[in-house]
Amino acid sequence: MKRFRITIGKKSYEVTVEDLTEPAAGSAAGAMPSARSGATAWTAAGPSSTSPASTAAGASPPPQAGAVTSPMAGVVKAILVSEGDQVRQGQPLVVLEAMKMENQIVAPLAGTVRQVGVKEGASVVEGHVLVVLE
Amino acid sequence: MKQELLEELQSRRERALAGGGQDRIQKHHAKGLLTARERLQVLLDSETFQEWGMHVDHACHDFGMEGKSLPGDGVVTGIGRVDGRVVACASQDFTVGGGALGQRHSKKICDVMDYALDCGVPLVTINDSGGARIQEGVESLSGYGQVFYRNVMLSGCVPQIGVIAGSCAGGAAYSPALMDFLIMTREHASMFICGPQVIKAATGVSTTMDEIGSAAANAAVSGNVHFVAENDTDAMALVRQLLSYLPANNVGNPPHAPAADIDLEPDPELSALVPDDPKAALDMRQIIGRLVDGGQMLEVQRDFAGNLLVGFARIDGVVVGIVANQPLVKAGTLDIDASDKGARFVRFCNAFNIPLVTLVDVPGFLPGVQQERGGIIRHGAKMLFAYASATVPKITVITRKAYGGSYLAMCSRDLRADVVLAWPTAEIAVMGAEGAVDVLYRQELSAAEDSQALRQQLVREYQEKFASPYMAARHGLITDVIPPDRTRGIVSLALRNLLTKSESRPAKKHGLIPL
Repeated sequence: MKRFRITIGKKSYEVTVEDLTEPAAGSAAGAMPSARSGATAWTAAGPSSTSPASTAAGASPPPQAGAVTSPMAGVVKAILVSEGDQVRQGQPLVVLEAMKMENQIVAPLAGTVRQVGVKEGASVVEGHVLVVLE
Repeated sequence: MKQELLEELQSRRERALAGGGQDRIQKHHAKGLLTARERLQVLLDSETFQEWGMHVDHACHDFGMEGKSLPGDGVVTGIGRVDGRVVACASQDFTVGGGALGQRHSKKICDVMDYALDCGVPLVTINDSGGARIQEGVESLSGYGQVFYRNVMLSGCVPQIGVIAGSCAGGAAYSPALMDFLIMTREHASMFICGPQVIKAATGVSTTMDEIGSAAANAAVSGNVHFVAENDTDAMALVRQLLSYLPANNVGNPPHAPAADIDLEPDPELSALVPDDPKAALDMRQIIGRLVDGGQMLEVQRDFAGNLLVGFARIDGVVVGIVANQPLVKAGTLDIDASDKGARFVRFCNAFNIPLVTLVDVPGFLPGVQQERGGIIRHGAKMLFAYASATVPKITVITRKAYGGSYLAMCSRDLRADVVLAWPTAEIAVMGAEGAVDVLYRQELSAAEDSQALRQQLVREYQEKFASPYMAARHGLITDVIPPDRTRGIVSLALRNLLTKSESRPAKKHGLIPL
């Protein structure tokens, strides 16, 4: 962050300028649940990156508050949490086997698991409620 | 010369520079916003701004406007420099009549747009306007039309960047919509065609500005906006950063700063990022971080269609556009939104001579009723169209999955990628092993005593034979199979060797990308 004074006519204004070419600490923490130590810091320009609100808005609107829904059709391979568990943001909740992949479905926000909406081995469609957090 | 003449000039300049007056400016500042001129001062190199039409006033003769003054007609326009490079700018002044667009306001914007086209320099507009100036009626409307027409004339000739720093509603939203990149400030900006009241009146549905017109909605849901800035200063910094990757026009090259030496040493950290299990997701962001200079990419549309990553970076100083599947989101599949996002970015890079580096880990197009009914055929075709039409250097790295039509759509050799590199982990095949076995051996499986065991054996055989890069390599569909840790050096060298690429295509008015 740098501070500048801008003078217009006789009025002066102080402005703060942030240099976005410098790596912003923790800017991608939310996006990298499996970040390893020693990995190159990812610098993104959009300061918006880690906002949970905007991440949640990217998926189809959840049918209920705190609902973590399936991003695509697939089979529930593993359920990694139980009702009552405390989870942190980015923590894997469910492994969904879909598209030749075992996809980790992670918590968009920290919270408590109120309900697990699926059983292992279940087939789910896009938008199916997997876990409800509160 | 008479001193009074200079004094008059001075007082006229002061009046113009005061915009809508101290009260309104203070209100603007109280919201944490910069004024139109302050925004330009933050954007441009110090002392480089030459303002055009400071003394312009409105052309309205009705509704009691005759006696009123609107300094600059509500917009500040001119030419300045960003990192020493010329940029044409227009910044709407909300303190003057709410920044509403009148005939002369429009004329001022059009003048700098014409200049941008004539001189081949980027255009930056900062939008903060209540909309059409109703007192000027159809003339105001025509003013928008004049701007829209020029947006289209400039398109593909010079980069156009729009900042949404305040209200941008109705028809006004279509000028930014015709531009290449939109940056929106998080708190005080809105962009929409019909607001919540109109939607309620017309459809009975209740909604909020947050849901339809906020920066978050435009960036993450509709995908209209490419970057969200925290505030005005941040928005201007983003414009500067974006311009640092772009050429001034479609005839020039992007600002490459090629390093004298290319480092060909292997990078063990990159290899460490590749999971042993082909079903475990690889984080493509981290792979990109190892391939580009300083681990830095200016990611475009970060909040939209996260299954495909696009952005600008440099490799040993050479500017590139990166397009990469992200297996952490929707398994890295291509869906409607990802296809739109990718195709648009590829076309921008092609228009402005920016080489494309494509990183592939794609299991397929996303299956789903909504995808089919939403037209994934038409949207997915945009990726094929965009890559096939691109004549810039095209380098593709197949990291892992590359299946079916989605493999072709990620800049395959058949779409004229210049260099296709594959890692030993690559699986280049028409479809996944399970699906293929079920189709190929349907009769054998139904006749077998232990069909499960037979199926597993056939799947294993298929995987060994086809889920690898070597079948594609044998058919000459890839340039080489390379160890992951050598990727940066090999891509960098290939990129240098391609910078003289020149490809001509059949002359036509324009191709017909499936919109």
